[in-house]
Amino acid sequence: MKNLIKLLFAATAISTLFTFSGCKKPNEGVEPIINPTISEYTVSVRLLDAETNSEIKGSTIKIVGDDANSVFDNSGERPQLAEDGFLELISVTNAEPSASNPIRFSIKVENKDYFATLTPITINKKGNQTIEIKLINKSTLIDGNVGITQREFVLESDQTLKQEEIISAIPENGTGKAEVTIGSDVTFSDVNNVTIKNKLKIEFAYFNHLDEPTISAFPGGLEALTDDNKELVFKSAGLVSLKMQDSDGKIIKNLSKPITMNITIPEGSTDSENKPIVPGTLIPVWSLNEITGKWKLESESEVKSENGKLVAQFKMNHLSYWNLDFYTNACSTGATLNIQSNFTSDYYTNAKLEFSNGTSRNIYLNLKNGASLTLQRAPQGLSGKLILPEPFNTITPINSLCSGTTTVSVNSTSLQSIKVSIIGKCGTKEVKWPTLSVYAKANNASSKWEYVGQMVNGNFETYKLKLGNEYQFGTWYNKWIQSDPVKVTETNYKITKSLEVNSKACGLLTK
Amino acid sequence: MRKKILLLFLSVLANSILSAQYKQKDSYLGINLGTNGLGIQYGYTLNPRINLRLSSSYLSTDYSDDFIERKNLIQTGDFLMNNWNINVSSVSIGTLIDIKPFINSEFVRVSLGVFYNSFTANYNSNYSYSDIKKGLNFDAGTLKLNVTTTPIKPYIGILLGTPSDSKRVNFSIEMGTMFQQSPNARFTGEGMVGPTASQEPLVQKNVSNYNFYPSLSFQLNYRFKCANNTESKKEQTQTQPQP
Repeated sequence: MKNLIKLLFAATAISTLFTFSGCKKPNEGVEPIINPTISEYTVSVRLLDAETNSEIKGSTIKIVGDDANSVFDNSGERPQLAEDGFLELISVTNAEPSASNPIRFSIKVENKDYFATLTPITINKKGNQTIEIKLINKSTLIDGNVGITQREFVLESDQTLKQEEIISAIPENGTGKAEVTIGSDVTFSDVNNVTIKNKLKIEFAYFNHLDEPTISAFPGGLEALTDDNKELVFKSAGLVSLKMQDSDGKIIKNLSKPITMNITIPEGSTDSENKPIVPGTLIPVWSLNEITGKWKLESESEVKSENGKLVAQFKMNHLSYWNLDFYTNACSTGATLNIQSNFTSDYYTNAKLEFSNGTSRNIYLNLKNGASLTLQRAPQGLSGKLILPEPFNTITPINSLCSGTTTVSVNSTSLQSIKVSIIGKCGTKEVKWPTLSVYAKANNASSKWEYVGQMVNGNFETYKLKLGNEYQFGTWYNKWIQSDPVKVTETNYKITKSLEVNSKACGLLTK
Repeated sequence: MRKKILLLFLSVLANSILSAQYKQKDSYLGINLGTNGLGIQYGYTLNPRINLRLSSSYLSTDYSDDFIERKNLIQTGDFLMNNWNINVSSVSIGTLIDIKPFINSEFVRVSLGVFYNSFTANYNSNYSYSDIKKGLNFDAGTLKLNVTTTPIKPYIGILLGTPSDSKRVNFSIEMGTMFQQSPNARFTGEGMVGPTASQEPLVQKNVSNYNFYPSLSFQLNYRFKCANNTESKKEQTQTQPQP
């Protein structure tokens, strides 16, 4: 009995001692693992030639606008370069974006061979936005739908032109044109109001807004944010770009006296209610602030008839993009499109939204069953239709672009879902992929990169691939990373040849 | 095995209670305060060597744990902060037999029994990501760690001070431990730090040797003295041989 008691004493003492001294805390040794994609608000950007739809290489990027400070690339750097035409942006903010408190910024893209663009972005909910920014090549001019004139002048000793100059920009295609008249008493100054001396280089362009590829590449876009933060949707009646610089490349922003712009409006142009523009029609005149990405209503121009042509005239007192645009108020968050399909995984497609006022917009849509898309900056008071391309060729009416839900039904039995795993390597070390956008390209001369969805932990599933075909896969993390061509041989396919990532990405992805 | 122990214990308890019905004995009511929280207990003196006891306690407490700072995660100069907030709650109800091992000492008793103990520990950690250079300070997600145990736990302890001694109010200290299976740990994460939850196996390993649930309590008891029990004690005193 005494032994039993001793044993009980010992057991109690030992267990108590062990419990207090020998156990670890439940969270002991737990190291925070960080998803290097430090934000759930992401934007996948592709820079495409508006005519060929090929990626544009070597563009410089600048993020402008109210919330520009919250925007980084997905490796945490300030975006500066889209070397291969791809870029992944993230937004990190102190407050969660919402419809009433969105993040707004614009992506400014510059490339010596293309017209610069400024694309507005609004983030008001979690998730990834897929944006295609189309740029117009200055040499091909979208099949002649842009007229461009480059001139060089030697300034007089009083920093003015010797005489009044009239410069025209006339596209090869279309019936519209633009003409600017610069008086002989105008002086030119840079952003700091320093007057330019010696030489003046002028690049003047006019864009045919009736050509669809041209309008889809309008610098500044048609979904506008005004200088008083109103959201609008433009319907254009003409766009001009007037750039001036001195012999050292210093950009001219200000003019001592206004210059006169005459735009001949092409036949077939209509107003915001889709009625033909006629003499007497008033068209708002807008200028784009390239620092804030916002549009300013400058004046209204009354259309006149001159030699049987419709002409709108306005004065310009500074240099930028100037538009003749009708406008419709926009809702920040519009109608929701709910997808009903037999796709159990992602199938992203480019679709077209046509509005009842005769304008349209291209959107990226995931046709996976249950997926949904809420329209942003949609025109108020208008209806529309969603047009899906091949192999679906469907048209879905949308009664109101700013409210309600519309079910989009699509089915296809010819497509097959394929799971792909991508391994990334830093030397011998395997990387831990953050969630990234992934692109695929069939291995033939005519094919182009296509967005196939989001890769989570290196895995994605899509209907975009075909068994037996060769593909290259690519993603952007700090820079563009792509695989060699590989043949997809099974529906659960693992790429055996790893993607090599650069040294900076290695440092972040192997932590 | 555990069921057998439980059945054995309950049968001993039932036997004791039944046998106790034939005699009027002392009983006591007490409060206890200790590592398992605050509770009440009721005891019954079955015979000079054995007390039966019904004990309960309740604990709910919050406290903060490690403050961690991680630097240079995404960019040079940034850092990640977190603070573990821990809530522990425990509800215990147990039936115990207190056995006096030394005939000549009223002071020490060994307690054996079984508890129903509902125990949960919830660890919540809110992370924030800061980059002073960029003026950023935002929510970087949360981690949640939940530890639970199986509720039926055998118990062994030592009771110092006898609640049923001659004084009406008395004080005792009890230390002991419940025995339990390895707890279950569930680790989840959201947001930027969400992938941290993949370390659930490490957390499970950390708690795998939590097989003992120790306790220490201080008890204050009030003894109800029964009349015939007093007489019985007097009789015992009278029949004791004179030295």
